[in-house]
Amino acid sequence: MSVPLKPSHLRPTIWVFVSCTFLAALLPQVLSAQTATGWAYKTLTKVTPPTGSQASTPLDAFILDGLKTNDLTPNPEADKMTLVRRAYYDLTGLPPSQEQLDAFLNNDSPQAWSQLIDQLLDSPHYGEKWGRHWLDLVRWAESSGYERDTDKRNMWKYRDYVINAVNDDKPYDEFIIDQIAGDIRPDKTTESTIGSGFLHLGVYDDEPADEEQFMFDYYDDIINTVSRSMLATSMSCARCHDHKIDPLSHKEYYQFLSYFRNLHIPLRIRHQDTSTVSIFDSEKENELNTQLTQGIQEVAEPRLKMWQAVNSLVSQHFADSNSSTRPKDVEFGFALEDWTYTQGELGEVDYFVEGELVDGPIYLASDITGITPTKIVPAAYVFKGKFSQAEAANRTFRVDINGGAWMYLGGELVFSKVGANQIKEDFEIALAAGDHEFLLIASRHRDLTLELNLVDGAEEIPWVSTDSWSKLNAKVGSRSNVKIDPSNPWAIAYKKNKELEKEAYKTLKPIEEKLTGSLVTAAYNSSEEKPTHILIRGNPHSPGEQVRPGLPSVLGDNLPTTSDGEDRRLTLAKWIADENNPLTARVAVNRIWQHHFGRGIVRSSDEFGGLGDQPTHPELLDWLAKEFVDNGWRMKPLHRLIMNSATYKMSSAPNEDALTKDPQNDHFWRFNMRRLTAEEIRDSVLVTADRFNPQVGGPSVFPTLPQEVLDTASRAEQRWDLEAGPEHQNRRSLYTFTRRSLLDPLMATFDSADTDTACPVRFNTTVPAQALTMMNSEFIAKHAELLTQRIKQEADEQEMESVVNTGFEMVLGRLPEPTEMEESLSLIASMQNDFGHDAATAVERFSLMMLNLNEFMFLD
Amino acid sequence: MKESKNFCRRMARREFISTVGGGFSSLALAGMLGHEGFFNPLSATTVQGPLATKLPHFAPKAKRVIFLFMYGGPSHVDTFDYKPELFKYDGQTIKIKTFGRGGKKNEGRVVGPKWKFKQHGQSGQWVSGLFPHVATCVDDIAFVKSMQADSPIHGSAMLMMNSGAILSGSPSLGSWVNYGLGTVNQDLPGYVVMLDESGGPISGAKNWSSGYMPASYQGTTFKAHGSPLLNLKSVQGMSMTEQQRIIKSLNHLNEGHLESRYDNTNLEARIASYELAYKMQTTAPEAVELEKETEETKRLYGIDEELTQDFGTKCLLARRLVERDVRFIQIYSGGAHNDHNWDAHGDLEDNHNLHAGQTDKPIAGLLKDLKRRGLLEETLVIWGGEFGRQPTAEYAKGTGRDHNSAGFTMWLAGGGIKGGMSLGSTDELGNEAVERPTHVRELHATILHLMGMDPNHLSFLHGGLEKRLVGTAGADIIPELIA
Repeated sequence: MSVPLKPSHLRPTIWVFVSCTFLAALLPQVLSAQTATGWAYKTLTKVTPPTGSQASTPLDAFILDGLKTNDLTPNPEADKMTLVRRAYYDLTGLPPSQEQLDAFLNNDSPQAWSQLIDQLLDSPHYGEKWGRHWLDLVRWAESSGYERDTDKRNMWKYRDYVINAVNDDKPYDEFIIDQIAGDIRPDKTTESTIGSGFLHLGVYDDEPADEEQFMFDYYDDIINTVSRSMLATSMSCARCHDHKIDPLSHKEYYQFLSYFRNLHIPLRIRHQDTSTVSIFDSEKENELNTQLTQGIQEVAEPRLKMWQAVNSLVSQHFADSNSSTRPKDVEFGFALEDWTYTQGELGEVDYFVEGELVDGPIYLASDITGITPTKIVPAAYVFKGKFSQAEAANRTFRVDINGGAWMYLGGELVFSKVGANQIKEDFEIALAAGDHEFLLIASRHRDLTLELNLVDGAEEIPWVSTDSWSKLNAKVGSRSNVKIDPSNPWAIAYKKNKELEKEAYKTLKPIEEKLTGSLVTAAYNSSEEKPTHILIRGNPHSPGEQVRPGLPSVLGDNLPTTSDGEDRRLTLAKWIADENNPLTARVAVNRIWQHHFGRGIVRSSDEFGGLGDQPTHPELLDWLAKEFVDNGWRMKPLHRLIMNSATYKMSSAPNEDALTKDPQNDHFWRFNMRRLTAEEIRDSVLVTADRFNPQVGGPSVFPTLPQEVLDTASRAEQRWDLEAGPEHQNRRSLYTFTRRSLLDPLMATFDSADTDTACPVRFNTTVPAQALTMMNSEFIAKHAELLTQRIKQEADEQEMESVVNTGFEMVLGRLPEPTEMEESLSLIASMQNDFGHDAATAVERFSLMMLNLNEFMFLD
Repeated sequence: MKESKNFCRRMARREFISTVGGGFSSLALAGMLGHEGFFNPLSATTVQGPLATKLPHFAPKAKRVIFLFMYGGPSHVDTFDYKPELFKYDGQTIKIKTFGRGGKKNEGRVVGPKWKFKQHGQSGQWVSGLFPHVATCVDDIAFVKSMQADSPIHGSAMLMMNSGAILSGSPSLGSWVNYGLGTVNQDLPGYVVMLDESGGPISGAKNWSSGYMPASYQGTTFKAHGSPLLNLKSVQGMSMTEQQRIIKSLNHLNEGHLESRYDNTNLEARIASYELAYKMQTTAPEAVELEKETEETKRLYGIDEELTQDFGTKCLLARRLVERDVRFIQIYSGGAHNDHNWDAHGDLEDNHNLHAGQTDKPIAGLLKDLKRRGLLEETLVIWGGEFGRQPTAEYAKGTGRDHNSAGFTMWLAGGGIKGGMSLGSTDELGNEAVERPTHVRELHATILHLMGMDPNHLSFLHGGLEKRLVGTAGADIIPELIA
């Protein structure tokens, strides 16, 4: 079974059965191998493209030279249809519309291609597509992960910052400085400050078991992301000991870390503002605060009315309770789960501690973060009422509850009990004669059932009963469908309350957005100065020698001298963005190449060190890097350079001779086919069904997800369903809120980027779950139906040939071949004849099939 | 998956690379490819791609794993770790160093165990009154009473137990197993997770995520009621024959498309995936057809009783999935937050009576059923939570205990495990492991070892590091447990 492997593929396998520890013994050999792998640290110098070939561009000269040396022939240019799809997806991640297709196909001008590229580079969707490539690298997500998985404040502004930077072709060196030091650069702007949110995009444990460990894990996440995304160097390897393969020492890791030592790192913050900076001036703040106050007042009145209505319902329920043994004037309220747990007593709720009863479920906390209710499920029910006691006596109450109950008489706690299971307990209270005020708080656990009865001899006199509430609130935590008996007053109250919440949410949300719009997740320096020590074996509790900021010596001799000052992150950022840094430009152009051609010139695009692949075209890489720097670190000229080459325009067709000689296409004798990315698949379905909302930027959206998927999140009740409006459904996938504890199956199945570490190369798997998604899911069914409607609008509905033609044009941008027409017609006929469907349903099945075609999902 | 028409070695290699490694070429596979050729992907001749069956490093003792995850942290001193001293000190405030959700404390009020302990089985293992049914199985069980984990906080501790690291982002145990060994039954997912009816655990999907590995290795949530898998049924109510008819046309068109792209095995794999998906739609519902089980079997799992019906159903499903060669099955007891799971901060008795009551009979039923069918030998059953609980109370009043990762109990059965034994111990109050402290990584190492993999050689190259489930420093297996 031996297969001729190239040396570059053998090499990693050699390392495999040599564990890291044993590698130390091999270090001398490794370092001698270093000369071969250290190419990436060499100074970037001007390379002259090879001459003598028929190459139409300098880029092609490099490629043709390699092909010639290896006795390979380049593929011919792909047809225009292939090229136009290639260009659209490549630059915008979207399929061309029929008009866009026709415009290009009918344009015979020699400049048609370069004009198309210019036009696509000017499209705002270009920034979305290429911004997403960057987001893959920087562990993009909008929540912190772990138990609470709290949102990060306005993280979407970072995403928009990236999109805008790409669209504006912001020089990459400037972009890098924003990421690392946008908050402290002398010429800082709102935008650059938002850019520094890069440093806080990672997972965040708001409840660390070991704070020192947490801090150094946080630094390591930053170092790992910076070094892999910008320098293609796995610096984290040196956290515990010297890097075993690359010349990076243990000490250098901590010198590098020390650049971030004065960065403020949030500790034990359980709300959205882990590290936020206000970007508005005080005048604007005041104005917004006024707006907020007004907004709350506007909401307050309908809330109060609503609440009175709910209470009157409850009072009616108790209308017959005029007997001396039953309570009267009962009011009813909700309290939310965000209780302040005070040490000692579980479930002491803050609203009561403060002596106030929450009059409704809208959680208006005092801090700025609480205006939007984070959830709408009430966690505790509050009953307040009076009863009369004719003469002083001991009275026995029986509480029967699944959850927890607290009863207060005249402000005194007389009974409390918390548990997971059914609690049925009697308690006796000595009561004086006269009126008593009681307050009963009942918290839910599995589901809320509550009975509070007065025991009178053998008789139990019902006081408060949630009756069919157990049904009402069944499995609140898992958000199963709640069945409500519409005649139950509690149910009416519950339902009205829900409506109220949604209404208030709608009104409050824009105000909240205005006010919190001033806050962005961004970096700032800590006021506390902490020394940096080498950590022995990476253990945060074993500090060794103290170190100062410094750069790895392998990266050059003329490194800037740095201080321990406030602006040390800026020093680091400028060094990374320096044209003399041997790695930065190479790494950047390699990635651009990767996203155009399916793989980098260095395949391991986050690893240029000894563990990585060798560049297949080192001179080309250097030439591109130099061009990039000379063009002011701008990406658009590089896209033009690449896409106008013959290499880019080659067909992806197989060629037996070349397949034998170069099966992996190391020499670029053809263009690599690729499957659409997860986002491209969903977006293309939206476009094809004519439901695509092209809006660029703005807060993230919450498209409907299957309930069983929402149920898996760390906090199932978190937000998602509050925002189910149409404006959330059809935006580009890039704008779907990225919650760490929730995997959107449509995206995850098609290999979307992992959220927790840099994702330099997307995986490309083929698994049955993808087929199930594309055949059976709600999303696909809905869009097959919409596509059918669209077909019917344009085609002659009575004429199935016309339907098929239109379907092919809408999904694939071309007309069907005769055999395809035949097959499609036979499918439609079979749906009608064998399965008894009407014509409309039959066409819907045809639409479904079209969305499943390989041609729809793959690019030549 | 059908054998590829154009199969040849060159293609196999190319597909493997493009399917699994993306643009990484062989790098991402480096860890897998190594070890004296045992993990040579080229040996996968029929099924290709990430889930192809792969040979283990050595002959495995266990072929499948059922992990009964008692989420929230069951109290070891109230279940399997008998501490007579603890009864004596009940109610007394003593000097004791603890670390839990409430932070580090130096003293606390002892809560005596709320259930009586008795010795069971020929081996005389101690089990409390919470687990009368499991108590009848102890001769098949090895208890590890000196477990330790890195964090006493749910979020990070859950990730530790499931993925070996307190930091989010690593692949889970089931992902490692499927990465190392592939999937035997291509008609079902190789790694399924059954969640509690109250919802997912803390950190949600991160507990069964494949982290930096391809998504094909991530756990698939499997429902005990209704359609077991997401998108298994057409939302349009299409019949299977109808779907087959659509796939027929789809295949026809896809094959036309393939003609001029014959060397692209991703296209072929995608065509074949429809066949697999189709089969899954018959196999998966069949796997959950509990009507085929006898009443006696259902009673054995407690499916006839309200309290145990849900967990019993999941345990029985686990057995049916094991029979269908699903490699890794995880069942959660407990979900969501607070007393929805074993996190007994408030009333210990209520909490544990409920959760043990829901699971005791089903778990014993599962062990017995596996045994009588001869499946236990090759099925490793693991029981435990992300940590245990403190011997002292969390609050001034009540019986609730805070989290404890310094010492807790887990148990294993079947799949090459020596039954009727206890390993290690905690101090006299059950606060901290003192004799043979055993880290979660050692448990993971043992699981991989029993599955036929060398835990210190099963690695995945990511970010320049050869990542392992057991960490870069590696971990030893627990030899005492192995039969």
